[in-house]
Amino acid sequence: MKTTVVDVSDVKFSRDTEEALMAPSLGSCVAVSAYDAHNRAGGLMIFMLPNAEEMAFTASDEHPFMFADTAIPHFLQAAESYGLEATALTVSVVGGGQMLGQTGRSNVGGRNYTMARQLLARVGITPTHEDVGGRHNRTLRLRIADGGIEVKVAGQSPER
Amino acid sequence: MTTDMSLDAIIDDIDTLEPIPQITTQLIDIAQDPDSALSEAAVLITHDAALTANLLRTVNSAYFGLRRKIESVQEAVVLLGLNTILDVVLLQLTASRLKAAQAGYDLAAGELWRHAAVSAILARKFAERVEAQNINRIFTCTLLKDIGKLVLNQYVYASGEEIQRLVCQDEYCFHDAEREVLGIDHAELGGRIAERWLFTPDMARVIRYHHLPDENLLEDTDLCIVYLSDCVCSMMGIGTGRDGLSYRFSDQVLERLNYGANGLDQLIMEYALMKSEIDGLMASLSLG
Ligand SMILES: [Fe+2]
Repeated sequence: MKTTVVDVSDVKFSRDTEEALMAPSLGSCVAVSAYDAHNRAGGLMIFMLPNAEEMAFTASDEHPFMFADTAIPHFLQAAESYGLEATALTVSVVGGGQMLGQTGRSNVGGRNYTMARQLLARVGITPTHEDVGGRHNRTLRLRIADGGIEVKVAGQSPER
Repeated sequence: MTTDMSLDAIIDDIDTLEPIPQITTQLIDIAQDPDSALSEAAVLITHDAALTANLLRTVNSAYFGLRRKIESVQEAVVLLGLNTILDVVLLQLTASRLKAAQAGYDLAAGELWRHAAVSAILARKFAERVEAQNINRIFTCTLLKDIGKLVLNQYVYASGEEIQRLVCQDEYCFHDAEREVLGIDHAELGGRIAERWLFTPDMARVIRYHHLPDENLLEDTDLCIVYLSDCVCSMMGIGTGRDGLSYRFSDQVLERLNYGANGLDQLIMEYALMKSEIDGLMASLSLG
């Protein structure tokens, strides 16, 4: 199986059933995957920060996948354009880890996750798989053949 | 094996570590000396044929976008500035020592070096932003901060479960768990290696304290920059192993460097906007 790496602040889609999309070594960043079992196609997107508006970030056109508030709507829209059926989507949310002592505003990982949940809920999506928080770096793989998710935590053997 | 016995063995291992090429130390000294002449560094580099070849290949890559081909070290220094040339050469020199896989830390080949290199490039950018005084020293210290992992790797491998238990169940920072189980952590060990390799006491100190074990250390701006670069790289998952995010984050460092309430978001955003440039430089380094 061929593995295609998705970079942070970026997105990839695939309908190649021989392929897996991978988000390597997620720390506080959050990866959101979407899979349409009917069409056997999926996408994976990784954002870095919760809120562009709050940061008065003006280059969202250039960097739509940097902040959750622009990244999630863009991702869902791109998924639809790619041919994923909105009603058939299986969505996963992975990452959002934090260091000891990262609380409140400095808890970027936690805030990333909360923002992702809220934005997905707003369009009626509840993730079917979540692996978030803690002090782990996670690597996520989405298999296009069957939508299977594999999460590997550094220093441990892979799960599922 | 008792902790004392393993500690003695670990300290003895510093001597079995293949020393960093001598030219590295000489170039580090030049980088930190404001009075050093451009020609001095150029002459040193020119004497090393392999280093020169690597340097010329890198500066002639698309990343540097120069209109004509550079054919000598002298010319490279004049066109790109001594700091840039020293950065490139030091990144390439450390690659040979830091590129091996470190199974104890669950780091694949190249990952330890990638973490070192990207955090060093990032540290230079942050240092320039806060107008720090010893920017070259900050760069070098960041590049070498985890050198202790080279020696501690096999011990961390052997005691992996015990360390992992302290980290996962008892909320230990990874370096605290190393010290608890092995009697020393990779940062302290790195400080000792720096002393053995005759780096300046200031460099040894920054390497020794790069995980900021004590709040009194906040006074040291250079150290704060090295520390923050390390934190950002870990949060971004750049060359992170099993220790990953298992360190303590200090909000006070952000205040110390005059980042406001949104400090960490700001810092990560700065990294994000520099990312393609950093990736470009990294790609130009590994052409060979
Ligand atoms: Fe470290």
